Amino acid sequence: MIEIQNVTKVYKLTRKQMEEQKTKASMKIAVKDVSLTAREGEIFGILGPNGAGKTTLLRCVATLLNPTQGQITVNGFDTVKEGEKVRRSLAFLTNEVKLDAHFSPKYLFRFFGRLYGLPEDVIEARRKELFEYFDITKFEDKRMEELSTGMKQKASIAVSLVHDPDIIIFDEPTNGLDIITARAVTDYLKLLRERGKLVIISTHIMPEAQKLCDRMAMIINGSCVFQGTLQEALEQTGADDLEDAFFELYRRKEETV
Amino acid sequence: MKNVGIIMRKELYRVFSDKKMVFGLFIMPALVVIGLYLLMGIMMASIMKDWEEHEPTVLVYQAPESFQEYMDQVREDNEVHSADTVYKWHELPVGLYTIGDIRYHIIWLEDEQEIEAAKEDIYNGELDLILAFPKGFDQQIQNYQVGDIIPDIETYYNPSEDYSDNAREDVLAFILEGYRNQLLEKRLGSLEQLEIYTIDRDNEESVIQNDNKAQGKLFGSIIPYMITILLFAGAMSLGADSFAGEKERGTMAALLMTPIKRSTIVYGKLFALMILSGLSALIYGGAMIFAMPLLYRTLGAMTGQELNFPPSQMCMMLILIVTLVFLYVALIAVCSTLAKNMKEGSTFISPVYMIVMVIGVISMFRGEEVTNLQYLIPLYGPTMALKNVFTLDITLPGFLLATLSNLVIGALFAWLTAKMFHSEKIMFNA
Repeated sequence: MIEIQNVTKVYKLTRKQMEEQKTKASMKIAVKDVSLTAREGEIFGILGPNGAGKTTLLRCVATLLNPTQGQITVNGFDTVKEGEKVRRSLAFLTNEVKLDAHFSPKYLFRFFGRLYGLPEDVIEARRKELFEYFDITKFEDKRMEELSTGMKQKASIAVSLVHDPDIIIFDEPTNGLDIITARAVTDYLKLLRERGKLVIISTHIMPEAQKLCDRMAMIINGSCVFQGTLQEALEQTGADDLEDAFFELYRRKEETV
Repeated sequence: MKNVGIIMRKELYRVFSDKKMVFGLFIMPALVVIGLYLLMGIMMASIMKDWEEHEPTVLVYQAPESFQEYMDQVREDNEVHSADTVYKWHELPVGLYTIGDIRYHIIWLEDEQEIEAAKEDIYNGELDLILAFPKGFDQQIQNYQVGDIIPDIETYYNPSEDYSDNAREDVLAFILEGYRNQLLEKRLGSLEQLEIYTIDRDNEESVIQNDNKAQGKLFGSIIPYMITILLFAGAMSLGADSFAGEKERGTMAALLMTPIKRSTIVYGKLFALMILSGLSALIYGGAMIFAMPLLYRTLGAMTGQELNFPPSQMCMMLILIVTLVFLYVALIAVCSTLAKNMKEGSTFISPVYMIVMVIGVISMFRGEEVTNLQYLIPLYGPTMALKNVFTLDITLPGFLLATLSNLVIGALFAWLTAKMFHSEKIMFNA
């Protein structure tokens, strides 16, 4: 379970960043007082436009960043004080976290398995299972740099799941993937949910979220404007689908600014 | 510790499984060194052979009779070629005189007007040397009284021409010196009067020295410089890649997502870098030791294989090198962790490399006078210690302090790198 309590994340901007973002403010509030709870056995969507603060929030959960205010616990462990225990129970997949292109999926799987302290036979069993599921076996000895984007993504997913984590955080899971690979990935996320795992995805593709997510939170300009099920989103906004519901929430938020 | 090993093995595997990297890092430098030394040896031998084979052409202006007699006498003494004219210089005959191992082409000139043409030829490199005697040289010598002006023989030569430079040196040493002695003998009756005393005529044990220290002095001036430069250069590009490069490629984030401590990642990388840079320096140094005799052999001088250090010296050198590598890689780690990408990493490391180079150069000229406390100065002290190990001028406290300096400063930088790994700003530019 993940509990996010009143989390705010503020970035200090360098002069160069201030110039790039054409702002005079030396601080940027990326996430503002967000509180969420996500539980095992569900796919939880963090929805919002680009730059809304989704990735920052997920990076805080994954212990890569520390919240400026508030607290995040993962399976009861504090992300700031007990980072190592938190990382042991989750997998974080994002475009910014990449695997070394020089190595093969097989080598990387073993390498990360060892870093998680898994015995060799467990690593081997996990590798067989995941490589077969994602159809990686036939190119497991090729270097990552020789693989296509889809293959790379599949290999990255398999490697990140080596330790069979309880929580899987997936930032833009189908971004840049072809339709077949995207389906393989979403199918696997559903499988993980069936196995009782908590899957958190961030996306700005509303139809994908509508199909996949059991519950969701909508982040606009760093603030959480909605948290609940698809049904609750539709009821609250009077929209027919998630995309319309999102736009309605977006409009309301803009009005309050 | 187990995880440090896992990270270290991965770093090593990354290098050793990349043929281009192995070639660039280990094989190419060795080949370049061997090739370069071989080429230098061949080139230098060929130049020296050319010098030896060259027959200098010397124009003697207003040669006194005594000199001409001396030349004939020397030539006859050596039972060499006749004075047949083989060719002419400005209508003047050229005689061949072999003195020692050198065959001189001698032109006897009396006409003052030709001297300018001869100087022109010296300038153009067609003549090697002019020996100009003053008028009435023999008379001046015969009538000499103490207090008279001593007759002066003028030489004209072209120092920018090797043949001319060598010809002057040879003529002064092998012809004019003998000629002077002959004249002195005539004036004084015997040269022994002039000699007064000799030095070490029968004393074969004149040299009392520690051979190791003597050869250490020779190597001590250059090897510590080479070792420090090579150690640093070996770790430089790899360090930039291992820290800044991994950040740039996004692969560092994957490591940071694992449940191991960040300091473990840092130490794993540092140890791998130490091994790689040590190995690179070893191969480079080995290639030099292998290649140096090639150079010396062609020159007929000493061989580089004469290095023979006592075990204690070897141990000290090894400990100093290992701890120095630790300090270098820790320094490189700090610089490249600060950087956002490889390019920036290389830029940050460059000033440190400059400092290491400057200290290396200083170590070539300074040494014995280092005080114990100076051995503690980071980078400088240990480099000096390395030099003084070679020259056997190291003291035990000096060695211990230099090692301590490496370890403490290295550990400080390693700790700083680990601290930096916890910074969002540095690791994620957040």
